[in-house]
Amino acid sequence: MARHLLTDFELMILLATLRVGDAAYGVPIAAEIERTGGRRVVVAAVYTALDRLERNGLVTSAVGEPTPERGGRAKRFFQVTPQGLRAIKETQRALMALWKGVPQLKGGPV
Amino acid sequence: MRRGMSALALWLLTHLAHRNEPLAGDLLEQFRVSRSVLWLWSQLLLAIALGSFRQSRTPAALNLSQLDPVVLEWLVDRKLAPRQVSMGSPGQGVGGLGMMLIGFLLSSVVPDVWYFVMGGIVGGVGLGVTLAYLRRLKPMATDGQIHTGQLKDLFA
Repeated sequence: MARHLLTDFELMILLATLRVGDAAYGVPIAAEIERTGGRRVVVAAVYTALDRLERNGLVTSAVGEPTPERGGRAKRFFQVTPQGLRAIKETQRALMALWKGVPQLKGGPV
Repeated sequence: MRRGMSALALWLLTHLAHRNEPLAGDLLEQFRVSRSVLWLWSQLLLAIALGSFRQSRTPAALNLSQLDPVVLEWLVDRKLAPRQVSMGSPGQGVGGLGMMLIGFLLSSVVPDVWYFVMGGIVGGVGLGVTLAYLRRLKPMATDGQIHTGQLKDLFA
Protein backbone atom coordinates (compact mmCIF):
# COMPACT_ATOMS: atom_id res chain seq x y z
CA MET A 1 0.00 0.00 0.00
CA ALA A 2 1.30 3.48 -0.88
CA ARG A 3 2.39 5.68 2.02
CA HIS A 4 0.10 8.58 2.78
CA LEU A 5 1.94 11.57 4.25
CA LEU A 6 -0.36 14.23 5.63
CA THR A 7 -0.19 18.00 5.24
CA ASP A 8 0.20 19.98 8.46
CA PHE A 9 -3.48 20.95 8.47
CA GLU A 10 -4.64 17.38 7.83
CA LEU A 11 -2.36 16.16 10.62
CA MET A 12 -3.75 18.76 13.03
CA ILE A 13 -7.32 17.85 12.12
CA LEU A 14 -6.75 14.13 12.64
CA LEU A 15 -4.99 14.72 15.96
CA ALA A 16 -7.72 17.12 17.11
CA THR A 17 -10.37 14.55 16.11
CA LEU A 18 -8.61 11.91 18.22
CA ARG A 19 -8.25 14.30 21.17
CA VAL A 20 -11.92 15.29 21.10
CA GLY A 21 -13.02 11.65 20.92
CA ASP A 22 -16.59 10.48 20.32
CA ALA A 23 -18.07 14.00 20.18
CA ALA A 24 -15.80 15.12 17.33
CA TYR A 25 -17.72 17.38 14.99
CA GLY A 26 -16.77 20.68 13.30
CA VAL A 27 -16.99 23.02 16.32
CA PRO A 28 -14.87 21.10 18.86
CA ILE A 29 -12.35 20.04 16.20
CA ALA A 30 -11.85 23.67 15.11
CA ALA A 31 -11.72 24.81 18.77
CA GLU A 32 -9.09 22.18 19.62
CA ILE A 33 -6.88 23.29 16.72
CA GLU A 34 -7.29 26.96 17.75
CA ARG A 35 -6.50 26.14 21.39
CA THR A 36 -3.49 23.90 20.86
CA GLY A 37 -2.17 25.23 17.55
CA GLY A 38 -2.69 28.90 18.31
CA ARG A 39 -4.07 29.58 14.87
CA ARG A 40 -7.39 30.92 13.64
CA VAL A 41 -9.39 28.25 11.87
CA VAL A 42 -11.92 28.59 9.05
CA VAL A 43 -14.64 26.05 9.82
CA ALA A 44 -15.35 25.50 6.11
CA ALA A 45 -11.66 24.65 5.57
CA VAL A 46 -11.94 22.02 8.32
CA TYR A 47 -14.87 20.45 6.47
CA THR A 48 -13.05 20.62 3.12
CA ALA A 49 -10.07 18.79 4.65
CA LEU A 50 -12.32 16.28 6.44
CA ASP A 51 -14.17 15.55 3.18
CA ARG A 52 -10.82 14.87 1.50
CA LEU A 53 -9.69 12.67 4.41
CA GLU A 54 -12.97 10.75 4.22
CA ARG A 55 -12.55 10.20 0.48
CA ASN A 56 -9.07 8.81 1.22
CA GLY A 57 -10.50 6.52 3.89
CA LEU A 58 -8.69 8.20 6.80
CA VAL A 59 -11.87 9.25 8.63
CA THR A 60 -15.50 8.17 8.62
CA SER A 61 -18.49 10.37 9.39
CA ALA A 62 -22.02 9.92 10.67
CA VAL A 63 -24.83 12.46 10.91
CA GLY A 64 -26.34 12.92 14.39
CA GLU A 65 -29.69 14.22 15.58
CA PRO A 66 -30.75 17.84 14.88
CA THR A 67 -30.46 20.14 17.91
CA PRO A 68 -32.31 23.41 18.66
CA GLU A 69 -29.17 25.49 19.42
CA ARG A 70 -28.07 24.80 15.88
CA GLY A 71 -31.38 25.93 14.38
CA GLY A 72 -32.54 22.33 14.01
CA ARG A 73 -29.48 21.27 12.04
CA ALA A 74 -27.70 17.99 12.64
CA LYS A 75 -24.08 17.54 13.62
CA ARG A 76 -21.70 15.46 11.51
CA PHE A 77 -19.48 13.36 13.75
CA PHE A 78 -16.07 12.20 12.58
CA GLN A 79 -13.96 9.24 13.60
CA VAL A 80 -10.38 8.40 12.61
CA THR A 81 -10.05 5.03 10.87
CA PRO A 82 -7.18 2.54 11.38
CA GLN A 83 -5.85 3.75 8.02
CA GLY A 84 -5.95 7.31 9.39
CA LEU A 85 -3.99 6.24 12.46
CA ARG A 86 -1.39 4.62 10.21
CA ALA A 87 -1.11 7.83 8.17
CA ILE A 88 -0.54 9.85 11.37
CA LYS A 89 2.23 7.49 12.48
CA GLU A 90 3.88 7.48 9.06
CA THR A 91 3.83 11.27 8.94
CA GLN A 92 5.27 11.43 12.46
CA ARG A 93 8.05 9.01 11.46
CA ALA A 94 8.88 11.08 8.35
CA LEU A 95 8.97 14.30 10.37
CA MET A 96 11.13 12.75 13.09
CA ALA A 97 13.55 11.47 10.44
CA LEU A 98 13.86 15.01 9.10
CA TRP A 99 14.30 16.36 12.63
CA LYS A 100 17.26 14.13 13.43
CA GLY A 101 20.71 15.51 12.80
CA VAL A 102 19.68 19.15 12.43
CA PRO A 103 22.06 21.02 14.79
CA GLN A 104 19.89 24.15 14.95
CA LEU A 105 17.07 22.14 16.51
CA LYS A 106 19.10 20.59 19.34
CA GLY A 107 18.50 21.65 22.93
CA GLY A 108 14.73 21.77 23.17
CA PRO A 109 12.21 24.43 22.18
CA VAL A 110 13.40 28.02 21.55
CA MET B 1 -26.34 48.43 11.94
CA ARG B 2 -24.87 45.49 13.84
CA ARG B 3 -28.34 43.98 14.17
CA GLY B 4 -28.94 44.45 10.44
CA MET B 5 -25.60 42.87 9.56
CA SER B 6 -26.24 39.85 11.72
CA ALA B 7 -29.81 39.52 10.38
CA LEU B 8 -28.48 39.58 6.81
CA ALA B 9 -25.76 37.04 7.63
CA LEU B 10 -28.28 34.74 9.33
CA TRP B 11 -30.70 35.09 6.41
CA LEU B 12 -27.91 34.14 4.00
CA LEU B 13 -26.85 31.24 6.21
CA THR B 14 -30.44 29.98 6.45
CA HIS B 15 -30.84 30.07 2.68
CA LEU B 16 -27.55 28.26 2.08
CA ALA B 17 -27.98 25.80 4.95
CA HIS B 18 -29.72 23.05 2.98
CA ARG B 19 -26.59 22.68 0.84
CA ASN B 20 -24.35 21.88 3.83
CA GLU B 21 -26.41 21.41 7.00
CA PRO B 22 -23.58 20.40 9.38
CA LEU B 23 -21.42 23.40 8.44
CA ALA B 24 -24.36 25.83 8.69
CA GLY B 25 -25.24 24.34 12.08
CA ASP B 26 -21.65 24.70 13.30
CA LEU B 27 -21.48 28.36 12.27
CA LEU B 28 -24.84 29.08 13.86
CA GLU B 29 -23.91 27.27 17.08
CA GLN B 30 -20.61 29.12 17.44
CA PHE B 31 -22.18 32.49 16.60
CA ARG B 32 -24.90 32.03 19.21
CA VAL B 33 -22.43 30.96 21.91
CA SER B 34 -19.50 33.32 21.63
CA ARG B 35 -18.63 34.71 18.21
CA SER B 36 -19.01 38.20 16.71
CA VAL B 37 -20.91 39.32 13.61
CA LEU B 38 -17.57 39.97 11.93
CA TRP B 39 -16.53 36.37 12.65
CA LEU B 40 -19.80 35.06 11.16
CA TRP B 41 -19.41 37.15 8.01
CA SER B 42 -15.78 36.12 7.51
CA GLN B 43 -16.60 32.42 8.01
CA LEU B 44 -19.63 32.66 5.74
CA LEU B 45 -17.82 34.41 2.90
CA LEU B 46 -14.83 32.08 3.15
CA ALA B 47 -17.18 29.07 3.12
CA ILE B 48 -18.83 30.37 -0.05
CA ALA B 49 -15.41 31.06 -1.60
CA LEU B 50 -14.25 27.53 -0.73
CA GLY B 51 -17.35 26.09 -2.42
CA SER B 52 -18.68 24.56 0.80
CA PHE B 53 -22.24 25.57 -0.05
CA ARG B 54 -22.15 24.34 -3.63
CA GLN B 55 -25.02 21.99 -4.32
CA SER B 56 -23.01 19.52 -6.32
CA ARG B 57 -19.42 19.10 -7.45
CA THR B 58 -20.65 18.51 -11.01
CA PRO B 59 -22.65 21.21 -12.80
CA ALA B 60 -26.25 20.05 -13.27
CA ALA B 61 -26.10 20.42 -17.04
CA LEU B 62 -23.11 18.06 -17.22
CA ASN B 63 -24.25 15.55 -14.63
CA LEU B 64 -25.43 12.76 -16.94
CA SER B 65 -25.97 10.40 -14.02
CA GLN B 66 -28.99 12.51 -12.98
CA LEU B 67 -30.63 12.25 -16.40
CA ASP B 68 -33.60 10.07 -16.97
CA PRO B 69 -32.32 6.65 -18.22
CA VAL B 70 -34.56 6.84 -21.30
CA VAL B 71 -33.20 10.27 -22.21
CA LEU B 72 -29.64 9.09 -21.55
CA GLU B 73 -30.15 6.08 -23.82
CA TRP B 74 -31.53 8.34 -26.52
CA LEU B 75 -28.49 10.61 -26.22
CA VAL B 76 -26.09 7.68 -26.45
CA ASP B 77 -27.96 6.23 -29.42
CA ARG B 78 -27.79 9.56 -31.16
CA LYS B 79 -24.07 9.77 -30.34
CA LEU B 80 -24.68 13.08 -28.65
CA ALA B 81 -23.11 12.05 -25.36
CA PRO B 82 -19.97 14.04 -24.51
CA ARG B 83 -16.68 12.49 -25.62
CA GLN B 84 -13.23 13.14 -24.22
CA VAL B 85 -11.24 15.08 -26.79
CA SER B 86 -7.68 16.02 -25.98
CA MET B 87 -6.41 18.96 -27.99
CA GLY B 88 -3.60 20.07 -25.72
CA SER B 89 -5.80 22.07 -23.37
CA PRO B 90 -3.55 23.78 -20.80
CA GLY B 91 -5.53 22.42 -17.89
CA GLN B 92 -8.02 19.67 -17.22
CA GLY B 93 -11.53 21.10 -17.19
CA VAL B 94 -10.61 24.24 -19.13
CA GLY B 95 -13.20 24.33 -21.87
CA GLY B 96 -14.19 26.92 -24.42
CA LEU B 97 -15.58 29.41 -21.91
CA GLY B 98 -12.52 28.96 -19.69
CA MET B 99 -10.23 29.64 -22.64
CA MET B 100 -12.23 32.77 -23.52
CA LEU B 101 -11.93 33.96 -19.91
CA ILE B 102 -8.17 33.37 -19.97
CA GLY B 103 -8.03 35.29 -23.24
CA PHE B 104 -10.01 38.16 -21.76
CA LEU B 105 -7.80 38.31 -18.66
CA LEU B 106 -4.62 38.17 -20.75
CA SER B 107 -5.95 40.92 -23.02
CA SER B 108 -6.75 43.15 -20.07
CA VAL B 109 -3.14 42.85 -18.85
CA VAL B 110 -1.39 42.97 -22.23
CA PRO B 111 -3.76 44.54 -24.81
CA ASP B 112 -1.57 43.55 -27.78
CA VAL B 113 -2.16 39.88 -27.01
CA TRP B 114 -5.74 40.31 -28.21
CA TYR B 115 -4.73 39.74 -31.88
CA PHE B 116 -3.18 36.39 -30.99
CA VAL B 117 -6.19 35.45 -28.86
CA MET B 118 -8.61 36.33 -31.67
CA GLY B 119 -6.44 34.40 -34.15
CA GLY B 120 -6.47 31.41 -31.81
CA ILE B 121 -10.25 31.52 -31.39
CA VAL B 122 -10.91 31.81 -35.14
CA GLY B 123 -8.37 29.08 -35.87
CA GLY B 124 -9.83 26.83 -33.16
CA VAL B 125 -13.38 27.26 -34.40
CA GLY B 126 -12.24 26.63 -37.98
CA LEU B 127 -10.36 23.48 -36.99
CA GLY B 128 -13.30 22.28 -34.90
CA VAL B 129 -15.79 22.76 -37.72
CA THR B 130 -13.49 21.03 -40.22
CA LEU B 131 -12.89 18.10 -37.87
CA ALA B 132 -16.61 17.78 -37.22
CA TYR B 133 -17.17 17.68 -40.99
CA LEU B 134 -14.44 15.07 -41.43
CA ARG B 135 -15.91 13.01 -38.63
CA ARG B 136 -19.15 12.74 -40.54
CA LEU B 137 -17.19 11.33 -43.45
CA LYS B 138 -14.85 9.08 -41.46
CA PRO B 139 -15.41 7.86 -37.87
CA MET B 140 -13.04 9.24 -35.23
CA ALA B 141 -10.56 6.95 -33.44
CA THR B 142 -12.29 5.08 -30.65
CA ASP B 143 -10.18 6.65 -27.88
CA GLY B 144 -11.46 10.12 -28.76
CA GLN B 145 -7.96 11.46 -29.54
CA ILE B 146 -7.22 13.31 -32.74
CA HIS B 147 -4.53 11.40 -34.61
CA THR B 148 -1.94 12.66 -37.05
CA GLY B 149 -3.50 10.61 -39.83
CA GLN B 150 -6.72 12.55 -39.51
CA LEU B 151 -4.82 15.84 -39.58
CA LYS B 152 -2.97 14.67 -42.71
CA ASP B 153 -6.34 13.92 -44.31
CA LEU B 154 -7.42 17.39 -43.34
CA PHE B 155 -4.58 19.14 -45.09
CA ALA B 156 -4.21 16.72 -48.04
